[in-house]
Amino acid sequence: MASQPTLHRTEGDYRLAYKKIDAIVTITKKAMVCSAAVAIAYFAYKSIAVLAGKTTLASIWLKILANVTVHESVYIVVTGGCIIWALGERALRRRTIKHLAPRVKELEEIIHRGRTSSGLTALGTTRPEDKI
Amino acid sequence: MTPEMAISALKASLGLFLIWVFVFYFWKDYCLAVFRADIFTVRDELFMYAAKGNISFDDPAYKMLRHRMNVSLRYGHEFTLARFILGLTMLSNIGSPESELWEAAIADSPPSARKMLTTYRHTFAYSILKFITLRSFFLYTLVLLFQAAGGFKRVVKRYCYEKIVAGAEILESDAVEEDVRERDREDTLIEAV
Repeated sequence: MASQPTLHRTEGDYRLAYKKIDAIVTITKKAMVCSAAVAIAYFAYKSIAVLAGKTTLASIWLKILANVTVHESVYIVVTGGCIIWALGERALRRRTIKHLAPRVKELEEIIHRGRTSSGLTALGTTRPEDKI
Repeated sequence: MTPEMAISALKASLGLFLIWVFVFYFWKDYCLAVFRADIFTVRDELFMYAAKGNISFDDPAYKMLRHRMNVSLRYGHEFTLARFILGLTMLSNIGSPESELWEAAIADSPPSARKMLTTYRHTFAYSILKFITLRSFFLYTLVLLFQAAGGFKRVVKRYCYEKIVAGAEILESDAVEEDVRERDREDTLIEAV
C-alpha cells in the first residue's frame, strides 16, 4: 500500500483556515440574530391575522391599551423611563467627549508633538466607514 | 385563537422585540463604550508614565503599545470571543510574531519600565477579554454568576494570563492589518484624486 504524502501546513494555510471558519461563525451569528427578528415578526403577524377582518387596527390598539393592567402600566412607565434616561446619559457622555477630547489632545501634544490618535469620531464612536 | 389571546400574543411579541433591540443593539453598544473607556484609561496612564520621564516617547515598546491600543480603539467593534478562541486554537501552532516583536521592544527598556509596560500590556489584554466576554448578554449573565462565586479577574490572573495575552495579540494583529489596509485604501484614493 502506497504511503500517504505528509502534508505540511504553512502559516498561510492556518491563516486561511482561520479566516474561513471566522466567516462561517460570523454568518451563522448574523443568521441567528436575523431569524430571531423574523420569528418575532411572524408571531406578531399571526396575532394580527387572527384579528384581521374582525376588528380595525385602531380598535386593536384600543384593546391593547384597555387590557393594560395597573401593574403592567407600572412596568411600562419604569421601562420607558429607564430607556429615556439611558439614551439621555449616552447623549450627554458623547457631548462631553466632544467637548473635552480636543483639549486633552491639545495638552498632550504640548508634551509630545508626535502623539498618535485612535482615529475615532469626535463623539468617540466608530467611524462609519469602519462599520462595514 | 380568541381575540383576547391574539392581543396577549401581540403584547408578548412587542416585548420580545424590545428585548431583541436591547440585547443585539444597546447592550453591544454599551459594552463597546465601556471597553473604549477602559483602553483610554490605560492609554492615559501609559502617557503619564512617559510624561514623567520614566520612559521615552520614542521608546519602541511605548510606541508599539500605544499603536496597538489605538488600533484596538478603532477596530474594537470587530473583536469577538469566537475570533479569540479560534485564534488561540488555530494560530497558536504558528507562533506569534507580535509577541517576538514585543519581547524585542521591551528588551532594551530599563527593568522598572519593563515591569510597568508589562503591567499595562496585561491590563490592556484583560480589557479585551472582558469586552469580548461581556459583549454577549447571555455570557455576561453566566460570568456574573461566576464573578459572584470566585472573581473572574482573580481566576484569570492566576491561571491563564499568558493565554489571554496571546489571544488578545491575535485580535490586535487583525486590527493592525485592518488599519494597514485602511491606510493603503486612503493613500490610493488620495493618489487617484
